[in-house]
Formats: sequence, C-alpha cells, structure tokens
Amino acid sequence: MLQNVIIGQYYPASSPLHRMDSRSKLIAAFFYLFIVFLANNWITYGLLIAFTAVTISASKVPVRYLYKGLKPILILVVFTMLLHVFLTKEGDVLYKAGWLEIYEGGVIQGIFIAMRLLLLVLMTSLLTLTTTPIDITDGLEHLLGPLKKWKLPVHEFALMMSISLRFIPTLLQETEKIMKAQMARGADFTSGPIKERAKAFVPLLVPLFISSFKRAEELALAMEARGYRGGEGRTRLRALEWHNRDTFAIVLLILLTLSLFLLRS
Amino acid sequence: MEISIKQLEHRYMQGTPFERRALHDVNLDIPHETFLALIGHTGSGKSTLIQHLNGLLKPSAGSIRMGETILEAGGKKQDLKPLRKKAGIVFQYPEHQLFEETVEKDIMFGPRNFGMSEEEAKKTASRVIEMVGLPQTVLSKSPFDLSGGQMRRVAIAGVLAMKPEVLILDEPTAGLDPAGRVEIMELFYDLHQKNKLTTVLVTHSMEDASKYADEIAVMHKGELYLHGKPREIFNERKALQEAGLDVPETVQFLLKWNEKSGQHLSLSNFTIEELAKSLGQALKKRGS
Amino acid sequence: MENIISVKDVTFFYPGEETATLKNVSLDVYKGEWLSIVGHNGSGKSTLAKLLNGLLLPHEGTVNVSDYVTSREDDIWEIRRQVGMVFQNPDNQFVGTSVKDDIAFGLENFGVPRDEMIKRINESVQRVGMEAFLDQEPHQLSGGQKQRVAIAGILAQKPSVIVLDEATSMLDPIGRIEVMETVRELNQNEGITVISITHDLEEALSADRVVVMKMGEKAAEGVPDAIFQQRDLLKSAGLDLPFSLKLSEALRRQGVELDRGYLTQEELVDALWKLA
Repeated sequence: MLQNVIIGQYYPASSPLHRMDSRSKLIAAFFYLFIVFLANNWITYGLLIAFTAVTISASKVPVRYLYKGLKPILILVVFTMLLHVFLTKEGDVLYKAGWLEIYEGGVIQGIFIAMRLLLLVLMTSLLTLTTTPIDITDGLEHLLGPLKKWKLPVHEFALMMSISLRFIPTLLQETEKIMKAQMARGADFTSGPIKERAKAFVPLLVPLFISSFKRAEELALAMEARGYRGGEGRTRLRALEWHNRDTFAIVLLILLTLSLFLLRS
Repeated sequence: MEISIKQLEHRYMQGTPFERRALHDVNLDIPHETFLALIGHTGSGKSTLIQHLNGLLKPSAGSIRMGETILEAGGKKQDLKPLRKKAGIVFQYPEHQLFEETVEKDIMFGPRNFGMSEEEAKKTASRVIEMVGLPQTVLSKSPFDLSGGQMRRVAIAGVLAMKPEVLILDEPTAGLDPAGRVEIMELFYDLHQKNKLTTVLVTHSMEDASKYADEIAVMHKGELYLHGKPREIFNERKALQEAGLDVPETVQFLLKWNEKSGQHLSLSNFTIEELAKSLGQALKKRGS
Repeated sequence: MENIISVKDVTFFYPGEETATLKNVSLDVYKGEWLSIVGHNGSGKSTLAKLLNGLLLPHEGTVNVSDYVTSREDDIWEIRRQVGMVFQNPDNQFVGTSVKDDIAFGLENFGVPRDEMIKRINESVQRVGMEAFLDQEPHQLSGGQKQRVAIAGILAQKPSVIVLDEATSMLDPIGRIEVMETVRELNQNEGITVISITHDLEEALSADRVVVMKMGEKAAEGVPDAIFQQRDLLKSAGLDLPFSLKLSEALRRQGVELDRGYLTQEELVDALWKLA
C-alpha cells in the first residue's frame, strides 16, 4: 500500500508544469492552500475545480495515476464527509429514521469539505509529482534566503535536505542487505506477536545506525577534503530560471483569488 | 548436503516496469562435501544465485533441492528456518551485521533463533571463537571495540555457531589486507575438510578458486557459463577471457613457458610449489 | 627532482590513544611521480594520507605542499584544492544527487563562477570517460564509476596531486582496472602526481617509488625493484609477494639456480630459458 501513496513522489515527464521554476510552483502551491478556504458556494468551488483540472492537464500526469495515488486518502475524505453529513443540523431535514436525521445543510457542507480536502491533496501532489525533490530544496533555499539575515541556517538546511535525498536509495539498499544477513541467522521480521516483532527489529536498526554514523563521518571528511567550509562565498551550479510561464501562472492565480473574493457569498 | 539446482530463473521486481531478469536456466548439481568456487563479474548473477540457497530469494521459475528441502517456483509457503540453520551464509562485509552488546551475545543470536538453549549457545560461542582464532577474553567485549579484522572473525563465528552443513561464502575476504585474506581462507578450508561441509565460495580470485575448489562454476550474464573441475575450466582460456576473466597466474606462467620452450607441461599445476617442481623437472630433462 | 610535498619529522596521535599512530615520519614526494604507500592495516598509512591535505594536523613536524604549510590556516584551502583525495568507500564521498552535481561540489566550495564551472565539469567528466552519465544518480552507478566521478571532481579543481586512499579496495576487478587506467593516464599524460595508499601488489610494482609503512614508521623507501627483493620486510608489513618472486623462490628450493628473484613473468620465463 505504501508504494501507492503519491504525495512526495516524482512523476518524470516534460510538461509545462514540469518545466516551471520550482519557486513559482512553491509559491503557487502555498498560496493555493489558503485560497481554497475562500470558496464557500457552488460557483467558487466550481472555479477552483476548473483551475485544478487545467493544472492537472498541464502536468501530463495521467488521471489514472493520480486516482490510484488518491485511493488511500479517499477513505479519509469519505469519513470527513459523512461526519459532516450526520452531525451538521442546518436547513431542511432531508431524511429521518429513528434518531438519525440528515439535513440539507449537512449534505452540502459534507460535499464542500470533501472537495476542499481533495483539491488540497491534488495540488500538493502535483507540486511533488512535477518537481524533483532536489528542485524543491533549491526553490526553498532561494525563497527562504532572506531569512539568513536573521541567522536562520537556510543553507545548512538545504544541504541537509539534499544529502538526505541522495542517501535514501543507499540506505534502502543497506537495510535490505542487513535484513537478509539477519534472516540468514534465523531472525524473523514478519511473523509473531507485535511485541516480539518490535524486538526483532533491534538487530536491523543497530547495524543501520552504526553504518549511518560511519557514513556521516566519512562523508564529512570527504566534504572537507573537497574544500567545504559552509555557505559563505559558495557559488552554485544549480541555477533557477524564472520564465514568462512562471509569471503567467502567478498572475493566473491572482486572478483566481480576485474572482473567489468577488463570487463568494 | 547435496544441492541440486534445476532450470532456475530469477526476476527482480516481477510484475513492475522495473522487472529485470537476473538468472536464467541455471542447472547445477553440487555433490555432498564439494568445495565449489562461483566466479563471475558484478551483475553476473552469482549473488542472486547463492541467496536462493537458503531461501532469501524465491525462484521465479525452476527449483532448488537442498538435501530434503525443495524450493520451487509457486511452491507453498514453508518454514525456512530448518534450511537456514543448515545453510549458513557469510555475506560480504559480514561485520556490518553485528549488533549486540557483547561478542558472546552476538554469536549466540543465530543459535538462539534456531532454538538452542542459552547454556548450550554459550558453550557454542566459546567453542567457535577459538575456531576463528580469537581468545576467549574477546567474548565479553563489545564487538564495536574490536578492529575491523577481528569484527569480521566475530561475524564469521556467528555463522559457524549455527553448525551449518553448507557454508556459503560471499567474497569473505573483501577489503582485508593480503595476510588477513590468506588467514581467513585457510580457516574456511580447514573447516570445510574437518567438518565435511559442502562449501560454495563466491570470489573474483582465480587464485583462490584454483587453490581451494574441487569444482568451478563461472556465471556470465545471469547464466551458468562454464562448470567443471579447475583443470577443465583453465583449459578454456578463450571462453574465460570472453567473460572478462582469466586463468590463474600459475597457468598463465605455464602457457608462457610452453610457448617459449615448445614443451607441453600439464596445465594442472595450480600451486606455486607444484609449478616449481614441474618446471624444475622439465629443466633437468632438457639439461641432461 | 622537484618536491611537491615534503613531510618532515611528523608525529601524530589520535586523541585518547597512548601510542603514536605516526612516529617521526619524513617523506618527499616528487613532482609528477607515482608513489605507492604500502603497509599492513593499522600501519599508519591512511593517517599519513590525511596529513597530506590538512585533514589531520601533525603534533610534531610539518607538512608542506609546494609553498604552503598545512598548519597555517590561510593555506589550507589552497592545499585542499591542489591535493585531491579519493577515499575507500565509493558511496560515502558522493555528495551530489547526480554526477554533474557531485563534480560541481568542490567547485562550488571554491567559489568558481557558474559558467566556468559548467566548462570544467564537461571537460573533467570526459577525461574520466563518464560523459554519458552526467545526469545519472549515484545508485545507478557501479563502484568503479563512482570512483571515476570522484576523480573528475578533483580534476575540475585543477589539482597537482591526487591521493588515492585505498580507492580500489572495495571494487571488483573490472572497477579496479577502470580506475587505475584513468589515474595512470592522468599521471603519464598530464603530469599529475599520484600518491596511492594500497594493498595491491601489481599496482605497487608499477609505481615509480614505493614507501613501506610499519607500526607507524617508515620502514623502507625505494624503487619497486629494490623494495620487492626484501622479502622479510614485505612479510612483516603484512604484504604478499608478487607471483613471479614467489615462483622464483620456489624454483630455487627445487634446485634451479636463479641469480635473483624476478618481478615479472616475462623476465622469469626468459631467465629460465637461458638456464635451459
């Protein structure tokens, strides 16, 4: 099931959305998180859905892929919707059976909340689906750059992120290797009561920690040998380029926001 | 224990876009008490093959018989513990698997998992630590306070403690200095003979293969490329070179000598002593 | 010959250890040579390597790289630019998320402007034969390829010395050959000085000079031909003898009257032919 969750995964393609600057995508996604909450009637939700649909089609991520990724979250969405349907007592009663009363307001509220959740998840997924983790890191470093003035370790944070990203596959391989070595010595990671199973992970985690510390130490040494001395005076190979399409996207988002303000009730 | 591999195929990540065939139609019988050297380059499938021998990987097609146990594609889920006890694997850089507070506890990990009593496991630990050439005092130390070479010996002791009948060694000397390499290989060879083990050694070294192995199997591109007695394999120099390998230095030297002298010394002198003897006799013959 | 590195009377202790890891070691490295440093595990050879670019500083004595001194703080960055280092574990020195990013890492640290950086990356990646892999991620590369990327990263810094700290010991034979051929070319065609810490006999045999380390001291220094005749020295330094030398000895035990030990198979075949 874990491999079906698409939040945080990258979908390799070359779409207008993929080619956008990660900064504009980050700004847009962040902005979107707020303006979703402006919608409060059918027209405004319709507008948001239309905007999201256009964005999805511009991303070239297959709808089926998106749907597959959303499936695990659908349960949450349906649950929240039902909560609202049953608990909101506004407007006309639509249905009554014993203690159970469903109101019109509840149904509408439920649908709205479900849409809001779906839209939020879709948009944030689109950000990570069309932007490599390292581009997101770069974008964040640039956007948060001004905070360096207040001694926030923005460069160190970004470096930490990029090194973590670089080592995720390495650590996964390592985990598999150690797991096999312990299984060959009779360790059992898959059966038995939960308490036993938790204990079974000690032989996996201890070696993993030890090797990670060793890696960190060697990596630090290698970085030092290659002249690393903090963020000051460093130049960058990875350059971000702001194009017209980025400006266009931001303008579009501002127009959407204005329309939402005008049309909400 | 006798090992019989039939039409073995393995595909990684089967049913995904990343599917990759790592083994194809491997047929290999390893008789009881054989020392088999498994040679091939990275990606030739030799690591994949040995992981089948104790059920860490399951065949995508074909079957493996390890003594009484049969592992086959689509076979029923079975308890693999008895097999894993009998077929001990020493992985590459085995010191990376150490985790306990003391050497003794770490060595006891395997035996305890396979149901040995605490007391018995302790006795076993004190026995195997000697086998790998470390003093009893090491038992109470933390494995992480030992040197790299000692850690490797402790990890090996942890596998020997399970009293395996089959010993599977995945480049057990990688990263050691030359002296350490010889010591570890001699240790395994000694065990192999004394305990009548069946041994599978994965190696890049033709020298080790020629020195210790009864049989050599060469893997290339996921298939069993050559299999036979060392003498037979070393007669196939062309084929070996096509797989990016070569004959051991003793044989290289013999070939050079035969070419220069026009003599036909047998290519079955694999140790330096044997080679020197046969060269010595050849020289005397010419001299007289 | 002109010195590029000189180590003078260096003693080094690791914190908390009573015996010195290096005792009074002096060593000259000549410009353009290939120097192999051999010795058993724990002989201090890796520590010596780390003193050469100021990753470690001597407690006594000095380490000079051309006109710079590792103990002077202002010199250290120039020294690290000039003396590039390839470590043992290919994974633990790959910093970037792709080949390109990794080669750039050193250049970024030294503040090289972006246009110049791109030029140097493209050039150095060609010199190690990895130009087809610029956008690959580290987990898609073999050990030998990762080490070649590490070398490209150093080349981009325009170094004068490359230190290989057991850089091939975790590689398979093919990876080892790839890396050694790359370095040999740089040494021969571009005059880059190579200092190689190694267990690999064949490699030491083809070096210009060999230094043998033993228990923290320099036990011997000389051309391979001279060093490899000293069998006891090599044994006590935890080293194996080259094949042809072992065979020479075995032949003498068989009563074959060889005048000396031979280092290569060709030489030995010729010598035997003449005897016969």
